[in-house]
Amino acid sequence: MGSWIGAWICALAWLGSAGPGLPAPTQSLQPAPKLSDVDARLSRWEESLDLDLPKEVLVDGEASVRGKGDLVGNARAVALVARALARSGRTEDALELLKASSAARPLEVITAERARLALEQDDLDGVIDLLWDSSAKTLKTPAIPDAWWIAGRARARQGNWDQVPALLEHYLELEPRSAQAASSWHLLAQAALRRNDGARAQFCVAREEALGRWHSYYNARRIQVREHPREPLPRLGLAQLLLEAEELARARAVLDELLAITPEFAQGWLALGETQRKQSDLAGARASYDKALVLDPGLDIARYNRAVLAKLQGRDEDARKDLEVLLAGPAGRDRRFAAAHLDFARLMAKSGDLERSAAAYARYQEFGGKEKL
Amino acid sequence: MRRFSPRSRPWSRILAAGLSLGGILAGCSDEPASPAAPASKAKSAGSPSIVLRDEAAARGLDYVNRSGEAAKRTILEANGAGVALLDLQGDGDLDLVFSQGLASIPALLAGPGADLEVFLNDGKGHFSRGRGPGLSGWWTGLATGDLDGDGDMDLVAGGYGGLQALLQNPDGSLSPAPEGSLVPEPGRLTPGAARTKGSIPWWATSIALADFDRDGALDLYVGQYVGLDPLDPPLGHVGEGALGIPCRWKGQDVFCGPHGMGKQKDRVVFGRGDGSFEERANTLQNQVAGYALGVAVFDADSDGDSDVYVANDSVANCLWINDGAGHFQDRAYVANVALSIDGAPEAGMGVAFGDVDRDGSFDFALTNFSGEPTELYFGAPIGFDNRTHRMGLGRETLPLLSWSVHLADFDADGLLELFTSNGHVYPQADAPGTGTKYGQAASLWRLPREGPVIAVAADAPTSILAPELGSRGSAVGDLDGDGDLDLVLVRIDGPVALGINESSGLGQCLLVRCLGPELPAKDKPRTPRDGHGARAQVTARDASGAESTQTGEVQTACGYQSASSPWLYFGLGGSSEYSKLEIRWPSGAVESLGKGRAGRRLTVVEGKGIVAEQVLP
Repeated sequence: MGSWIGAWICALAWLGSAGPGLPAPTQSLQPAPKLSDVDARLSRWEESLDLDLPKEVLVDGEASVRGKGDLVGNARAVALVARALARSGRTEDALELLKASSAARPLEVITAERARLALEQDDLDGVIDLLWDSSAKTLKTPAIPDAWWIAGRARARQGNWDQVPALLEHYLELEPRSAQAASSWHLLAQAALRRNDGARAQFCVAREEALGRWHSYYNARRIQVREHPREPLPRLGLAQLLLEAEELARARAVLDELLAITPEFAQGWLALGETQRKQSDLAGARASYDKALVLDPGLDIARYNRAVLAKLQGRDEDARKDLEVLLAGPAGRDRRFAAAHLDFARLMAKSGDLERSAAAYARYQEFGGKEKL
Repeated sequence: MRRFSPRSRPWSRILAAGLSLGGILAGCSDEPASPAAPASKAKSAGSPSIVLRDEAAARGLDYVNRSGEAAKRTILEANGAGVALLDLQGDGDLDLVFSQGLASIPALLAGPGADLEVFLNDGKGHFSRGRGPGLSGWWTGLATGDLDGDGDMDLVAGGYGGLQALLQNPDGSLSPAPEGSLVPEPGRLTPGAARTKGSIPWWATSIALADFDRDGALDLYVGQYVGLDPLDPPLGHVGEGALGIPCRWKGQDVFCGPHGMGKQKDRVVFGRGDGSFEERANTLQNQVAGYALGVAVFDADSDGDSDVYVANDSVANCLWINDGAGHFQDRAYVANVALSIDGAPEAGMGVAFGDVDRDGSFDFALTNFSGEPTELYFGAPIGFDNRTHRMGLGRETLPLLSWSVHLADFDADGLLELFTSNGHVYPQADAPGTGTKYGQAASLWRLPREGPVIAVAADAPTSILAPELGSRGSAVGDLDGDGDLDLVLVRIDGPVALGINESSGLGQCLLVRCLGPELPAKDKPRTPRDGHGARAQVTARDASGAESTQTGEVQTACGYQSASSPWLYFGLGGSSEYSKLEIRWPSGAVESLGKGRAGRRLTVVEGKGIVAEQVLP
């Protein structure tokens, strides 16, 4: 539990930074668009493949992309089933499915999937033939993000390292946090090492490690959610990871599910409040922190978050009350709440109570704080 | 004799990856990486067929491995055993020692434990059981070398809760060294002794003897695996409650680990030259614990000392670069050998090195889990160049879960072949849709100088490449005295295979045994008595008529949990002679021995040149 609180202290990220080492957020502040039934189904297949459960895809999907199946013309569905077939040791069936699906749209998705299969078969020239337009010196399927990493990886495997950066840097612009992003940063680091560009390699390694760690936790959380669907902690952990990655709409969706199952879970309301705050839904955030504190008045982080929110909104009196309560308790002696002393010192200074301000600021400095009052 | 001037490849000076990558890389060479080999579908013309006939039963080798229960409910039961080739009794042939497990973990706790199993060679590759050293445990990795400098080969046995130094007696038997146990309490597991829950045995997997500090006494690298409590093994899931993660693979319940279980840090202990060892501080600098399974020692950066590559299961591998005094830094990341080429940690199992492309720097092969390729790394100006996929080895090996590995010239044509032992850890692999299976035949590929690897098929059901049975450890050496390479293959839960090389049309070969001086030099660095670390280069004309140099290094740790022959084997193809034999000794001396005839077995002692020469049959 202690580490969970510690993680939350980091995840508070009140003052706007993205998660540690992660690329800058690109997420819209709008709620996630509701997925169609087909999209939701295909997203489930993608998750199954992420978790190395190709059988689930085949059970649900194989018939759907063959004959008169309901997804015969859907290239994304065909590609996912083909990938599941290949991962089940049925590579020939996968190739046959892709070849037989020339009517599926968009066709570029099928082409990219054929290239992925060629990559797995060490047919590196085949990958380049499928994806690379040598006269135009660009990809034949530039709109398909996966095509960029597949081509980049094929070039790396061929030993053509000078051609790797352009492909993978473009891929990372398109998909900065995908499951393939850590690998792409790794290859960029290796390419940089070959150029003796140590600074660039160091930069790439940092992103590789941050994304790799994030995805391993992400997969673990998704397994835990599947395994314990009625338990709040796995969903909370999943939401926390999504928050760290600034995937706010998805975090919100996970928290909505969590609170529908366990509405009395104070930590869930705290996480929802944080998500809403990041989405600029400040009224919603305040209500969620209120709810969290009703359920668990000792939830110091919720109280602190509510105080900071009040301060940002100019409700200094509300902020003062929360900070006073907070700092009178164990949090006042906890160096992880050093910033609360600073906030309180500033509030007191603003209100003219210089004595209390000085005392709070001194406490902040005792905890190692360096910011000026 | 002249002295060796180290010309290490510049990447070896690069500090460990991570925060210090920046400025130090300025010292790197800007030489481009090796060009890609042009693809070729052509078979290597004129190569003889390679036949490794299983003659274990016919030759008296009746070792049967026990590795727990068939259901494999714990990770201990999946990893099998190893084999060591060493000359017991001083009769010049290679005898066999096998590690051994037990029927179950409860059997281990109840005792008695297993002993090592010894088989004595009659010189022609026929075996009879010898007396075991009387150990009691669940034994895994084996390492060979002359621990006490008396001129015969000794043994170290690793195990689950055990690590034991054994000295060879004048009659060829093995006895525990006076300070034999290398596991302090409470890491030791004594079968039959009372235990308490929560006491975790140290689990040694692959181990390697080499002289890391160049004092002439062999040191020991101990690969250590996972923290498994025999009284409370995780079953069904790792972690507790709602945050527990089920132990599943492709949707099926399987044994737990290594993910979610504690990693054990590898160790280096330094030999005193009498069979005893000592710990030293800060040997493996900035060490991060891994799940070590495979360990190979070789001079990775060509600077004249012994480095260590460690295949870790499911986490990044390590390349410990030695400063020549036994202090190591992990440079796997900057050398491009920590992760797959795509940056994924793989389930490393076994390692073997050799100079595949004959450029004088060592290359190595690394085996992995199913769904991951056996990797082939070539020494490059900066670290290593991963040519796995360029050589078509990814496609060949993805369905395989491979363990032991050798880069060896079975047909003596001058080109190394790649051998892997295979077999899945999960009996559940036989379920439909896994893309793999539990029992897997061993594999052999030719590695042509250009183009993709070429699989060598089993020629008959009696080939060791034929049965679809899981195997683990393996070792290579000339077991029947005819000069070619044979192979011992330790199957899991079954009888051992003895692959006697019956290939037709074999090339000429040259076998070289490098030995250090009988009386050690006063000054360091010194060469160990058994020659560990000596590097030999043989130059001869190849099939095209051009002079070509092959490089070998005396290291017995190879593959997985096993020790191969200390003899160096060079295939010379059709050449009846070599034009040059040069040996670089760990002492720094370089000895040039001129030309000679092929088809010989040579014994070379540092400072004395060739002291024995035997014509091969």
